[in-house]
Amino acid sequence: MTQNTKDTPEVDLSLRRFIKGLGAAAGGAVLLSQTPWLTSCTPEKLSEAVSEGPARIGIIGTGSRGQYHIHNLLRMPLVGKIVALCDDYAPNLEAASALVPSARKYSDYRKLLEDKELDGVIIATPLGSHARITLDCLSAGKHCFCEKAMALTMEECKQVYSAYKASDRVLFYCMQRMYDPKYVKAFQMIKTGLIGDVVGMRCHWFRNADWRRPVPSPELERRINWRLYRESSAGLMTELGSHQIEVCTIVTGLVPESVAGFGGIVYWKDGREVYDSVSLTYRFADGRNIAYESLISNKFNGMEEQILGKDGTVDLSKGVYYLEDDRSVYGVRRLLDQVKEGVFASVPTAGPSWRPELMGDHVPHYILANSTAKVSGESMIGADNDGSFEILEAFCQSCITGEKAANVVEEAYCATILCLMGNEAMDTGSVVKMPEDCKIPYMKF
Amino acid sequence: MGTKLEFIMTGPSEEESERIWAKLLSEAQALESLLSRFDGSSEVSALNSISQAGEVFPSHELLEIIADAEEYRMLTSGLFDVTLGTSKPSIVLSGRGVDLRGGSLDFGGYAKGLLCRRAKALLSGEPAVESAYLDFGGSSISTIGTHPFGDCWKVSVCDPFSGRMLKEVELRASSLSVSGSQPHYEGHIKDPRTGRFIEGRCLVICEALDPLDAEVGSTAAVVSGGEKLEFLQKNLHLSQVSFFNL
Ligand SMILES: NC(=O)c1ccc[n+]([C@@H]2O[C@H](COP(=O)([O-])OP(=O)(O)OC[C@H]3O[C@@H](n4cnc5c(N)ncnc54)[C@H](O)[C@@H]3O)[C@@H](O)[C@H]2O)c1
Repeated sequence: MTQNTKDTPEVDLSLRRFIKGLGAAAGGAVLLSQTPWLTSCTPEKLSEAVSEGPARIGIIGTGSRGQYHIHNLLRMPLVGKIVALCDDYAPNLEAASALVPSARKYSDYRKLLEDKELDGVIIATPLGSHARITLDCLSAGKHCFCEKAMALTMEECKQVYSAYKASDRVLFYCMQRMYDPKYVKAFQMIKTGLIGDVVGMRCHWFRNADWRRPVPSPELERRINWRLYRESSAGLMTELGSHQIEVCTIVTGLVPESVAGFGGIVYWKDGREVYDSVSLTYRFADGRNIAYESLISNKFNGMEEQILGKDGTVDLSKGVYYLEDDRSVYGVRRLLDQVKEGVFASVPTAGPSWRPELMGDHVPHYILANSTAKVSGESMIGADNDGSFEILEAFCQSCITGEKAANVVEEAYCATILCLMGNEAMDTGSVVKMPEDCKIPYMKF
Repeated sequence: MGTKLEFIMTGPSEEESERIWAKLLSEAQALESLLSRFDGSSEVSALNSISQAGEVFPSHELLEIIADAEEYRMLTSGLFDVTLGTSKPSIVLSGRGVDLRGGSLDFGGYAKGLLCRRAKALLSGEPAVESAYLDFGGSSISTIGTHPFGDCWKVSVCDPFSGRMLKEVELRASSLSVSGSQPHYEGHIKDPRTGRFIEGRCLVICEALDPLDAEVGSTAAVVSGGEKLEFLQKNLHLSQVSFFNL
């Protein structure tokens, strides 16, 4: 560690305040035990880390997401300092270098890994290279933060997982919902019975855009539009679905056993190889389902993760919940529904009673008071306030303390395997079961 | 007043409805600035803050309200009282002054009932209004005319703890007030005779032509623990009063 920042001012960080708030609440310890990954970045541990920090960070892949992380890192100087940048595409390396002129530049990531003055590495390259670079990173003794889905194939996922288990290095996957206060709070509210038994899940991510980036010259097509080709991408499932499927395994504490579904190239018939439309059903051993859909030629439905409970519904992405028998919806609202429908019935007051089964009759309650933040899911880079800042900061902190974050790698592993199973189901038109050799002790069915 | 007023009316055009709504709103705001405990600048808050020093002199309007509330105290033999924490007699009306020493004014239930009374009068005075249903915080309901598809307004009152339906009431131009215990909110109503919060779970439903009678009736019935229902019914002109232990 290079710099002692003991005298630096206090860190003002929303997630820490949030965790502190959780800890201070009645039953805070129990609440925190439901989201164990947060215990590695408590405010107490942060001040310890800050006194030793910042961690020296290198970034491999300085394209759009890599640069997004650079902007975030520049806002957390007490825990992270960018010292090295690597990209094998010169324009992107130069763009990043312009943001952090002091950082050493590399075009070969293996050279960056030889850099001794480096504690942790962020990998923001296309999915196809995640496994290889992550494995090299861990064997070079670097802590590692990789974007989102773990790897392109199940075999690679298994290799990464085993390497992580055998390593004393920290590994993070950028599944930022695990660090987004409105999700964390909702996970806890669901676990403590807010919506009763969870009976099903419905997730979808709709956009209306071709998922392309401009290509300066034709031979760069596969490199720049890597998302569209199977050698480097597993399509909508790993890029979008992984976040949402992960949320379902966290909420239930279980992993679906099998999946069936259909996918196709419905609208963007431009030579791409990955589906632009997917629709799947994941099935848990107890019979519950996740209905999953993604489509990029219609955005009416936006992005939602709905957890359906016997007593209510949580829409995680919007940070709201609805109750089936909502005692806050009394009198006049129901009366209005009646009058509109031409019904003469009793108006319930001071408690639940008859209600028409109309969608509009449900009133939203916000998971975090004063928070109506809504992430539309339209950005290909990343949204503000979606947990990405917090998870990156937690990683930097772990680079200093060496403390792994519980469940983060395991959840990314489960989500990635499930997404790849989904692709296989759509490719083969069959029901795909969780392969025996992909099961890990963490998984409960 | 820390609660929500919602209403439905039939008859008036959109434009008229806007006008009526604005009138209702200014009525509510006027009462709020007179009686609210939540608004530090209301007259009641101001009086409470200086009342320990001696006799205070409320505005004419507030004085009338205090006198009216005092009458309710007598009609309910002390079960309903807008003064809190005082030993009796708490309010001495002497000409234009009021002595509140040892106590303070709390118009909680009374203000709701009074606003309902005024709102009902306002709507009744509007020739275009054929029928109306006014809901104040889910516990005070006033009606004019009938439901557009029925011959009355039907309200079902449920046990707030279990959701079980306790009683269905048919309102024909009358008003309903529901008082009692609420989940997650203990210490809702105080017994003015002891200064203690009412313990135990109960719920009272009162119906009367005048919303304020219903409001006072339901509060007093909760305080009485269901003991003096007939007395309250007679004195406050209640068309019905029901008491439930929950
Ligand atoms: N967590 C999220 O919400 C989120 C959002 C957007 C992107 N991502 C992830 O970020 C990653 C990058 O996506 P992007 O949109 O920034 O793509 P991008 O194409 O803009 O950037 C990728 C960069 O990696 C570079 N690169 C490729 N192979 C390399 C190698 N071997 N060595 C060095 N550099 C190499 C490319 O030249 C490019 O500059 C993907 O894994 C994507 O899934 C995650």
